[in-house]
Amino acid sequence: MINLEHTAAAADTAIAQNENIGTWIGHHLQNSNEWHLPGLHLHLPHFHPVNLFGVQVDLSITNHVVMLVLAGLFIILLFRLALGKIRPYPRGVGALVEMLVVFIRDEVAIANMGEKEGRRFTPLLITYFFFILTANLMGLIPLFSTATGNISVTAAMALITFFATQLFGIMESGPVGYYKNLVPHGVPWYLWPLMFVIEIMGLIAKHVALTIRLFANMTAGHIVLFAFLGLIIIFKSYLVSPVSIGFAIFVYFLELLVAFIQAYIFTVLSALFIGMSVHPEH
Amino acid sequence: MLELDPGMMIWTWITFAIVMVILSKTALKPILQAIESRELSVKENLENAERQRLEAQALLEKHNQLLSEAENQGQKIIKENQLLAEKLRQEILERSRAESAILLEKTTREIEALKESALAELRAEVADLAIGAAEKILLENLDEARQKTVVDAYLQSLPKTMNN
Repeated sequence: MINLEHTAAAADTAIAQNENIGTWIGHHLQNSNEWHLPGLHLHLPHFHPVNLFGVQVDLSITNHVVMLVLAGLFIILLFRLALGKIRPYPRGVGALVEMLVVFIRDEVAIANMGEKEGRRFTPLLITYFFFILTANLMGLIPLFSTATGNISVTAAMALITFFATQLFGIMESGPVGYYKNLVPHGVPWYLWPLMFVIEIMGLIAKHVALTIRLFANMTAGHIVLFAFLGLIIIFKSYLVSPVSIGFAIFVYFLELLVAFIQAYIFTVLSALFIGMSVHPEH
Repeated sequence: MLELDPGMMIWTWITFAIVMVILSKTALKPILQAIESRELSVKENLENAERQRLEAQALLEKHNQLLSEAENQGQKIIKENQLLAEKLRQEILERSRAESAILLEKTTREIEALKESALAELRAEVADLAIGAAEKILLENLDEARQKTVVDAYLQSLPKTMNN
């Protein structure tokens, strides 16, 4: 319904401003300083960029920041709700949350990092999973936008994993030991410098891939979703709408699946990377 | 779209860090502890149940054994009693048969003796009668007709009791 409203409104503006569909889609995916609610255009606070170590940092509260904060609040609320009802046996929302928590603890953390490290990193991984999942799913709710469709957000998340791998790897085997362990054992000494460079590049590539994977998956689905709806405006005919909406609904459910899968993949890969850095022998 | 916005990244970190700290401090710790303690108790309960099951099975086997033993014993007792009863019956039968044979013999002997004594008595009586009759004849010395009447009269005079 809201999508239709959006479509109608966007169609009007598109005709009025001679905007093309591409910019319209881009406008929907990009971060902005406004939050459009029905009958209410929230202008979010805008700050002057501050100079932080020579980089101009714009700390304005943007739409995606609001989404992330809402996601965080939702998770905390969900866990409080689940926690308030801890019984000898799981039930209701608590059962769902507990199921996911146990799943991440056993199948993601302990399976990829071992018993001891798995238990240690379980809170981080659970926060990853729920945070990303909530942000992903919020993109599918009308009026909300997809914070995980912003590459800055996914890059920030991947950097958390990156710093965690470096930090815990160095804590585990010392700075020299950790970077020495990056190169697999049994490499001849003359190949060592080359392998070291390759491994460092691989380390960076892994996290860049982590960034791009989540960002691209969340963005692509939304582009397809809006493109199908945009067909109605391109053809300027309501006869297209059954096809458009049918496909849009299909893509919507696909996105629902992708939201879960990407949250899971991000969590599993983070667990794997951190696990590899704290267990260099693997 | 592919440009990194440092402000957005910083906000992401801040949000993520706050969420993680609040979550792990207030929610995850108790939830994970509760899950672990529940898992432990489930494991314990399962082990207890398994142990109790084994105990119950052992007990059942013992009971079954006792039951079959008792049945065997009962069967044995019944058989023994049957044998004993049979023996006793045979004995009683034998004894009663012997007793009845003895009794029969004794009775027969008595009857024989009685018969003998009755015959002897009869014989003595008859002899007495003959002597009496001869005495009368000799005393009277009468003619034939007269003798006949005398004998008849004598016979008539005999007590009726002798008939049996």
